[in-house]
Amino acid sequence: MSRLLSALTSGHALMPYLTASDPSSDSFLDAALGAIDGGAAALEVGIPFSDPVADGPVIQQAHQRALAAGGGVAATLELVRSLRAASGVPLVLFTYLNPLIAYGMEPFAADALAAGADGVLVLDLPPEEEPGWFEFLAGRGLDPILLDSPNTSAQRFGRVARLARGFVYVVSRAGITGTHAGASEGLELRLARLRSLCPLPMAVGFGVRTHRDVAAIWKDAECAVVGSALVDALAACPLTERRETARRFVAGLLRCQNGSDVSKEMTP
Amino acid sequence: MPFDLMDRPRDFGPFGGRFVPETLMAPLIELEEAFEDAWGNASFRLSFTSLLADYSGRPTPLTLARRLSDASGLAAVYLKREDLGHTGSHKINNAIGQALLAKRMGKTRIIAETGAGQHGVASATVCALLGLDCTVYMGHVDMARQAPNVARMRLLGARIEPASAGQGTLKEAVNEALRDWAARPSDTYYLLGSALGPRPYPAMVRTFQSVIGEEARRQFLAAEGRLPEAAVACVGGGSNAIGLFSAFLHDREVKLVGVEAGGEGPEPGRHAARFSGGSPGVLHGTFSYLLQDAEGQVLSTSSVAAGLDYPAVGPEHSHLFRSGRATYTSVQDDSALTAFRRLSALEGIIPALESAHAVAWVMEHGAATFGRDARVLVNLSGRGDKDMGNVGG
Ligand SMILES: Cc1ncc(COP(=O)(O)O)c(C=O)c1O
Repeated sequence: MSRLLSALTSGHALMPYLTASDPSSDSFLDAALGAIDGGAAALEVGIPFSDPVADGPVIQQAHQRALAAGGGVAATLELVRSLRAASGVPLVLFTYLNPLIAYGMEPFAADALAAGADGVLVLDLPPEEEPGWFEFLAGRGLDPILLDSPNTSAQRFGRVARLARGFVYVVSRAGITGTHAGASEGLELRLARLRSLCPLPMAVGFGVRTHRDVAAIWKDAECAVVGSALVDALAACPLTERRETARRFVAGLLRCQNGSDVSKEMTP
Repeated sequence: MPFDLMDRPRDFGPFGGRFVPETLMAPLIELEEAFEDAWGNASFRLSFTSLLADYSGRPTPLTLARRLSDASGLAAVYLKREDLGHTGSHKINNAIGQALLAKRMGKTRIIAETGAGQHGVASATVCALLGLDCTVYMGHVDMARQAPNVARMRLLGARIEPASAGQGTLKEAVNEALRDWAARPSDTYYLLGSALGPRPYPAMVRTFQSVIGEEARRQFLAAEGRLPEAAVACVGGGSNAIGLFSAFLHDREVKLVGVEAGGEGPEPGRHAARFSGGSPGVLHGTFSYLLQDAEGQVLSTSSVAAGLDYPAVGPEHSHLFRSGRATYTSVQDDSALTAFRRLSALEGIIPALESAHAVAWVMEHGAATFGRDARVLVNLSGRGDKDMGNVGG
C-alpha cells in the first residue's frame, strides 16, 4: 500500500499546502516542519510557477515570492529531499505542467521519486491529455493524483478513477484557491457517488479556513486540504515564528472537535 | 524522449490540446459541442454573416496602396482593410461570432481579456447590441497605454477589471479571465479574443476570422487576375494572421509571412518573438511556442504594440512554422513606429501599431525577399486611433 493511501485511509486527516521556496528555502522548511509537528497527515508541496491560473491572490503571491527566491522544479525537489530526511510524512508535489515539460517528464518522475515524493498532482494535465505518464508514475510507485470538480461528469470521473492512485482530490466548489466556500451543499451526495466509482480516500479542498470547515469535510471525506488560509497566516508572521505558527495553525484545525476556533484566533 | 509532448498528434500537428484545470474541462466540452452544432446550423450562419454585413460593414475593401508600393520597391502592395470594419479592427468578426454563440447557449454574462483594447471594445460593442452583461480584463499597463479604448468600453457599458499582477499586460488579463471563468462556469461565456487557448478556441476563432482571407483572396483575384506572391500579417495570438492565411493554405505558390513583435531587441524579456526566442510549452491551455526560461517559467515580454505583447502564440501558427508552410519573422518597435508614420503620410491610413509591424516588414524586406515584381497582400488588421496618445503626431 502506498504511504499516501495508508496515511489517509483511516480518516480525520489534514493535508496542508505550502509553496516550495516561499519566501525562501529555509523559511519554507520551517513552515513545513511546523505543519508536520502540528499533525499534518500529508503535505502538499507546490512547485512555483509564473502563471498559476488555478490559484487565487494569496497563493499567486506565494508563487511570486518563491520565484524571487530562486524557486522552481530543481529547488523544490531539493526541499523534498530535506523534508524526507526529517520526516516520514507523505509528500505530494502540486504543480503546473510547463515546468515539468521543461524539466522532462521522465527525469522529473525519476528525480521526484529519488527525492522521496509520494504523489504528483498536475493541475493543468487532464486525463484526456496525459501521454501515458500517469500509469508510468504509478508503475514506479509515485501516485498520480487526479481531481474531481463539481462539474466533472460521471463518464469523465470513470477515467479519473481508473488512473488515480493514493487519493482523489475533490474540489469542493468551482473556482480558484482561496475562495471561501463555507460548507458546500451537495458534498455528501457527491462524495457518495464518487465512492461508488472509486475506492480511494477522498481529500476535499478549496476554501478551507476554519475548524468548522474541516469538521464538515470529515463527515463525508477522509481528508481536508488547507492552503490559502495557512499561507496567509504564515505571510503575516515574523520569519522566526513560522514553524510555531504553522504548528499551531494545523494543530488548531485538527483539534476542531473540541470546538476552539484556533484558525480564527490566528488570522488578524 | 519518452512522454515528449511533441510525439503526440493534437489539433495542429503536435500543437494545441486542452491543458486546463479540471473545473474548466466541462465548460470547454460544452463550448466545443455548442460551436459545432451552431456552425452546422444554417440560421446561425445567416445571423453571423448578416451582422458582419449589416452591422460591421463587410466586406471590407482591398486597397491598392500605390505610394506605399513605390516606397517599398514592390510592384504592388494591397491592404486588406480590417481597419474599416466596425470598431476599427478584425476583432469584431470573432466577437460577433462568439457573442451569437453565447446567446444561443443561453449564457448571460460575457467575460473577455484584451491587450490593445480592440478585442475588449469589440466584445463590449456586441454585448451592447445583444443585451449581454460584459466584463473585460485588461492589464493595468495596457489600460494606461490604450486609454481611448478603455473609455470606449466604459461608454459601451462594459465593466473593466484591471489585471495588476505580473507585468500587467495581455498574459495577466488572460490569467484573470480564466480564473473568473473557473469560478462561474455555468452562466459565464469566456469570449477569448485570439486564436489561442484551449480547444476549441483556436479553431473556432480561425473559423470566425476566415472571412478576412476568403474576401481578400477573391478581391485580389478580381483586381490582379492572379494570386499574390505573399500574404503578410502581424501575429499577436495569431487571429488576424490565421484569418488571412486560412484562405491560402492550399495555394502553395502564395508565401505566408507572420510578423511578430521584435520589441526593443532580441534579448530575453525585451520582445515577443516566440518563434526566434521561444520553444514549445504549455500556457493558457495550449501546447505551442512559448517564451520561457530553462526552468519553464514564462518570460516577460515587451512591445510598443499591446496586442502583440504576449509570450505564447496560437497553436496553429506553431504547426505552420514547423511544417514550413508559413515563415515567421519580427520587426522591432522603432521600425513599427516608422511604418506607423509612413503609412499615414503616404496613404492617408493610420494603422494600429500592431498592423504597422506587418507594414514595416514589407517596406523593409518585401522587395529583397520576393523581388521587385512581386505583388504582396498585407492585412491591415486595425486602425491607429487608439495609439495616438502614445505615439503622437
Ligand atoms: C489591430 C490589431 N491587430 C492585431 C492584433 C493581434 O492579435 P491577433 O494576432 O490575434 O490578430 C490586435 C490585438 O489586440 C489588434 O488590436
